[in-house]
Amino acid sequence: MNFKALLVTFCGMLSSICAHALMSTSTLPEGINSPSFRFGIIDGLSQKYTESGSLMNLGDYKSVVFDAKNLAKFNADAKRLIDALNRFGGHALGDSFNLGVLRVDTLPRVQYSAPVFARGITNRWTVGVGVPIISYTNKISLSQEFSNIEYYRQQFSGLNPELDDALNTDLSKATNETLAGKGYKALGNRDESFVGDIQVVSMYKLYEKNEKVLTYQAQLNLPTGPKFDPDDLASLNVFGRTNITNSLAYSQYLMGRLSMVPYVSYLINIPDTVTARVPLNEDDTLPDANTKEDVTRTLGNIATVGGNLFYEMTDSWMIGGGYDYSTKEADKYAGERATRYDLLATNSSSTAHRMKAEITYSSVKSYFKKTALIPMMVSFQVSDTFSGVNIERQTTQEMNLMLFF
Amino acid sequence: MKKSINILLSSALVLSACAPKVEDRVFEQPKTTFGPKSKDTQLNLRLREFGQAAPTLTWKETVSSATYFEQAEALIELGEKTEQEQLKNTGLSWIRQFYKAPESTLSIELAKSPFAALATGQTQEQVRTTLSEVLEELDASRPTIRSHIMNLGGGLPQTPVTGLAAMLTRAEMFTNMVLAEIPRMELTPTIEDGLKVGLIDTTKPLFVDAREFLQRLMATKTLTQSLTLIEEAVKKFEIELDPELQKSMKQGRQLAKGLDGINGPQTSLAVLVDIWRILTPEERAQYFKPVNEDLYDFLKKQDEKELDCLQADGCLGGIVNGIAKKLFILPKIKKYGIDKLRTEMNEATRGYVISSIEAFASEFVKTMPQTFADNIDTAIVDKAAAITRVRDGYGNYVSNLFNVWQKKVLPESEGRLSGFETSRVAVNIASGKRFELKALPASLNVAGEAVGAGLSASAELLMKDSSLGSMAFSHMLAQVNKLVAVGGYRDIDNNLIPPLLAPVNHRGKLLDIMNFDESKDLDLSFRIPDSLALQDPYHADPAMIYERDFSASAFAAQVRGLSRMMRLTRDWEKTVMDQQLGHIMAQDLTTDAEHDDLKQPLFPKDMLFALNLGNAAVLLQDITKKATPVFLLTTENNLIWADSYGNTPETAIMAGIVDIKKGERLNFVTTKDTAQFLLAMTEFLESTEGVEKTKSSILLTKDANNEAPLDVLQAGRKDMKLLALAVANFISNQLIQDNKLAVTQMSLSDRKGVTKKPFMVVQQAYAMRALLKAYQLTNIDSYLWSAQEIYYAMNRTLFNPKEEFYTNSDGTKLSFPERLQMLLALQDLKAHLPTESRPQLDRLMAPWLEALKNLK
Repeated sequence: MNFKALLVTFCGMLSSICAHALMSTSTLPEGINSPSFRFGIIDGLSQKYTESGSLMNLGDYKSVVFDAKNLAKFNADAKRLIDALNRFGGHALGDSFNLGVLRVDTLPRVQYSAPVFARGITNRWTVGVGVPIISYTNKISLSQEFSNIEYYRQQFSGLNPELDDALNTDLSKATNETLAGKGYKALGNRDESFVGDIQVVSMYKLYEKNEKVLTYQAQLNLPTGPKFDPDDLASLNVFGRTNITNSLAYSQYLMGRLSMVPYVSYLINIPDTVTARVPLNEDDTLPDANTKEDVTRTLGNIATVGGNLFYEMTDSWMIGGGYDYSTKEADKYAGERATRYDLLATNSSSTAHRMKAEITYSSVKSYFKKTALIPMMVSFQVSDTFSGVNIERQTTQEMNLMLFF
Repeated sequence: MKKSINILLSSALVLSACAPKVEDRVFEQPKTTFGPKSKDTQLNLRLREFGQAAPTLTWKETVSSATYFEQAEALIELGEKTEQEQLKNTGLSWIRQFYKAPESTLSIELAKSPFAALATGQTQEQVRTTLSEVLEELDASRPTIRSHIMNLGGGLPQTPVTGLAAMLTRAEMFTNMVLAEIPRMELTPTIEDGLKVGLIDTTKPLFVDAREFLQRLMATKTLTQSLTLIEEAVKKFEIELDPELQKSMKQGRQLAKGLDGINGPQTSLAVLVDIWRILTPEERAQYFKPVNEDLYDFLKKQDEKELDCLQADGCLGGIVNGIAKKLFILPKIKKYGIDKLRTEMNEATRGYVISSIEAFASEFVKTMPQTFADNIDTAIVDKAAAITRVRDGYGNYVSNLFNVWQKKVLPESEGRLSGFETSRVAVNIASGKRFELKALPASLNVAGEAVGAGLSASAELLMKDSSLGSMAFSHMLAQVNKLVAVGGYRDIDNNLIPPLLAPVNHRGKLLDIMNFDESKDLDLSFRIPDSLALQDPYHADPAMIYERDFSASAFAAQVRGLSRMMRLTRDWEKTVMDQQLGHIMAQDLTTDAEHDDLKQPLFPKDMLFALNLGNAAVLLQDITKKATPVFLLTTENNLIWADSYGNTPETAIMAGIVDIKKGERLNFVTTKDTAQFLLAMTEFLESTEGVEKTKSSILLTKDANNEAPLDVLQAGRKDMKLLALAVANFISNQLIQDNKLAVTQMSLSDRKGVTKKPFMVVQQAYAMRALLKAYQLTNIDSYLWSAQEIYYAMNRTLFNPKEEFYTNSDGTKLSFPERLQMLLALQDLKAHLPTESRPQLDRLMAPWLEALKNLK
C-alpha cells in the first residue's frame, strides 16, 4: 500500500477551513477500512490580503475613519451636526470634525477536529465521510483613536444637550448601540463549537500504470454547518454551503524516491437561498433590519491548480511540499426587491497562492514486516497563503492520525 | 528523523517567509490646531517725531442724545482699559454736562413723579383696608376698655389717701392696674399694643414730672413761688383752667404780689384786707378769727369802701375807723412784726393753695377710673378720626407727605426731578477747546434709543463718578422714576398709566406690568417706539401717539440700558443705590404717625430690581412673539422669524435683527444693529449673573405650576446665551465677506451684502467688539479668529498712511464717533492679538489716544 496516498485521501475533507494536505492519487485497497482523526488549528485569519493584494491586519482593514465626510454619509443626524458646526463661526469647523478611527481588533482562531471514515470499495475506488467539529474563538475589541473631538468638546460643550451627546460619542459604545438598534448581535468575544459541513468523498483511479496514476476525486460538501447569519458580523459564515469539488490528480516518480503530483480542481457552488441584509447603497455599511431579505446566493466557483513533491526518506518517514493557486469567481445574489444585491458581492472574487509542507510517519510497512503492532500513519502538515487578493491569510497546522484494518 | 524534522521546520519557516510583510494602515491625523485664516500686515506707519503734536480731533454736529451718550461711554471704557484716568473722567464729565445743560431734560415735582404715584397706588389698597379694619376694631374695643377700667376701680384700696404724694402713688398704682388689665381685655394685637404704648407713653413721663413738681412745691416758701410753680405745671401738663380757677389764680397772683410787697404795717394791712376779700365768710371765720378775733370783728364790720380806705396809705376813713387804724391796727401789726406777719401769711396762703390742690387731687383719685376711661375713650375717638382722615384722603395724604419731603431732600431743585432726556444735542468739541453742548429744547417727546442710552449713561455716571455730590441722589431718584415710567403702573384709582413700552403691532391693550403673565400673550409686543409723545417729563401721553417705528438699534439700546441699570438695582449686592436711597425709610416721609410698617425702605431694592428686570423681560420676551424683529437661519439655510422657531423641525444656528418701520419688518440687516444687539444681550447676561441670590419675593414666589419667575429667568438666560451665540454665528458666518470685512448692510432675500454700500470702518468696529464679547461669553475660538481676521483685513485694505488711520472703503474719512468706536474696538482686540502684532497696534493707536486726552 502506498501510504502517501492515504494521507491525502481526504485532503479537502474540511473544505475551506481544512488544512490543505498535499493532494495525492492513492486509494485504499478493496475492503480496507480507515478510521482517522484530524486535528487542526487555523491562525492568520486576523490578516487579510486586500483587494490590492497587500497583506493587512484585519483590525486595520476593518477600521472605519469617522471624519466629517464619512460621518455625513453615516446618517442624517451626523450630517446636521457637521452642517451646524460649519455655521459656528466662519471657519468651517464642521469640515474638520473628526471622531477618529474606530478600530475593530479581532483575533479569530479556528480549531477543528474531524473523525473521518474511509473504505476501499474496490482497489481503484475509495469513498469516505468526515464530520468536522469546529471550535471558533475570536477576541474582538473596539477602540477609538486619532480623534480631534476633544477640541470640539472644549469649544462647544454645554451649549445644547443634543450637541453634548454628539460630542461625547464613544465610538465603541455607539457602534454597539447602533448594532443593537439595527438588530445586530453585539460585537463581543466568541467562544463557540459546532458541527461543520459534512463531507463525502469519492476517489477513483482512472489510470494506473508503472507507478503513474491518474485519479478523479469528487467531494460533496453538505450544508450541515451553521447557516448564514445576517445579524452576526463576527460570524465565520463559511458553513451551510453545498458544493462539489471535482479534482484530477496525476502522480509520477521522478527519480528514486521523489515523486510529483500535479493536479487541478474545480469547486462548483450550488445556489441556495439565504437571508441577507441588502445594503441600500455603497455607503450603507450596516444595513438596517428591514433590509433583510431571502436572496438567492450563488457563491463563486473556485478553480485551483497546483502540484506537490514527495520524498520518501525511509520506509516510515516521508516529507512533502506543494504549491497551489486558486481563483474564485465573484458571488452573485439575486432577490425580488430590485435593490443593490450587487453590493452583497463586493470584493467576493479572490485569488490565493498557497504553499504547504508535511511530514509523515507510517507503520504500514513495518506492520507488514511484523515489526509494528498496528498499521497506522501520523502526519503533521502546515500551510500558508503567501499571496492573494480578497482573502484571509490562513496559516494552518494539522495533525492526522490514520488507522487501517 | 532529526533531519526530517529540520526539513519540516525549515519548510514552515520558508512558508511564512514567503508571505509579504503585514502592512500597517496609515490613518490621516485629524486637524487639531485651528486658527485665523489670515495674518497681520505690516502697516506703513510714519514714525512720529518726538514732541510732535497729537492729531486734532473735532466733533461738531447735531447728533442724537444716544450717539452722544455712546461716545461718552466709549471714552469711559477706553480710559479704563488703557488705564488713562483722564479719558475716563472726560467721558464722565460729558455725561454730567449733558444733565447740567439747560433743557436737556424737563423736570417735574417729586410728588408728581411716577414713583410717588406708584407708591401711593401700590400701598393705598392695603393701607385703606388695614385702616378700615383698625377703625372697626377701635370702635369695637371702646366698651370693652371702658368696662374693664371701670371694674378696676373696686380693686383700689378703700382707705382714703391724704397728702399729694400718696395720691400720686395711688394714681400710679391705678395706671399699673390698667396696664396689667389690658392683656385681659382681649383686644386685637394692634389695639392692645397701641393702648399699652399710648398709656405708658402718656403716664410715665407725667408721673415723673408730677413727682418732681410735688417735690418742688413742697420746697416753696412763698405764695409767689407756689403760684409760679403751679403756672409752670399748668403749662407743662397742658391743663386747661376753668374760669373760676383762672379767677382764683389771678387773685392768688395779686395776693402774692401784695405779700411780696409788704414793707410796713400799712402794706401788711392791705394784704390782710386782700385776703379777707378773697375768703368766704366761713373761711374768714376759719382763718382770721382764731388768729386775731379783734381784727376779725373789726374787718367784719367794714364795708367795701371802708376796706378800700384801710388798704390805702393815709386814708383814715371815719373817726372810729381812723382811730382804730391809726391807734390800734397799724401799731399792733407793727408790734407783731412785719416780717413775721409776712412769713405767716405766706405760709398760710401757701398752705391754702396746697390744700386746694389736695382737695382737687382727692377728688381726682375718687373719680380716677371714670377719668381714665373717659380719657382713653377720647383718645381712641381722636385716633379713629385721624385714621379716617388718612383713609379717606390717602392720595392727598401721601402727596402732602411727598410735597414736604421733596423740599427737604431736593432743596437745590426745589423738589423737582429731571425726566427723560431730549432726543438731540448739538455738540462742539475740539482738541484743547472749550466743551460746548447745547440740548435742543426738550419737547414732550422721547426717543426709544435715547431712553436706553440715558439709562446706560446714568448708570455709568452713578457707578463711576465720585464727584457727583448731591446730584447723585437726585439722579438716582430720577432713574428709579424712569424705570417706573418705562413699565407703567396703576395709580391710586387703579387706572393704568400708559408705559413707555408701547404696543408694537396691536392697538388698544397696553402693557400692565403688574399683571406680568398677561404680557406673555404672543400677540402682544411692547417696545419703546423710536419717538413717543409724552404727557409730562416721565409719562407717556395717554393717547399713545407714535409711529410704529421700532428700530433695532433702539431695541438694543433699551435692553442694554435696562441691563446696565440692573447693576445698580440688583439686590444681592451693595451698590450705589444703597448709598443713595437705601437708607431712606417710609417713616422718613412723616412724623405724624410712627409705625413699624413705616420703618421699611421707601425704595425697596428687591422690588425695584424686579421692576427693572420686568421691563427688560418684556423686551426680551418680544423676541419670541409675533412682532419679533429677530430672524433665524436654520442649518438648512432657511430664514424663519424667531416666533415660529418652535414650529419648525429645523435647527436654528444663526440669528440677526432688523428694523420695524410703520409696523413692517425691513428686509435687510446691518452689521451695526446685529452687533449692538449681541452686545446688549451680553450686557443682560452679565448684569443678571448671580441672580439666583436675589431675595426679591416677586421673583421667588412660585406659581400654580410650582414655577417661580426666577426659574423662568434662569432658563431664559440659557436661551439668551444661545441666541447671542447664534447672532455671533451670523456675524462671523454671513456678514463677514470673503475679504474678511463685515458688510455694512445685507439683504435678507438673497443673503448678500448690498454692494453699493462701502465697507465702513465703524461697522468693523462693532463687529469686532461683538465677536470678542461672544468669544468671552462662549469661549468659542472661531469668534476671536473672526475678530482678528477683520483687523488683519482692515490693515490690508482700509489703512490710509496719510491719515495714519483707517478710512472707509470708498475713501471717506472717519467722523469723531466712528474713530472713537474703532479705537475702543482696537483696544478690546489688542489683548487677543498675537504678541508680535501688538507693538504695531500700539503705535497706530498712540497718537489718537493722546488726541483724545486733549478733549475737554
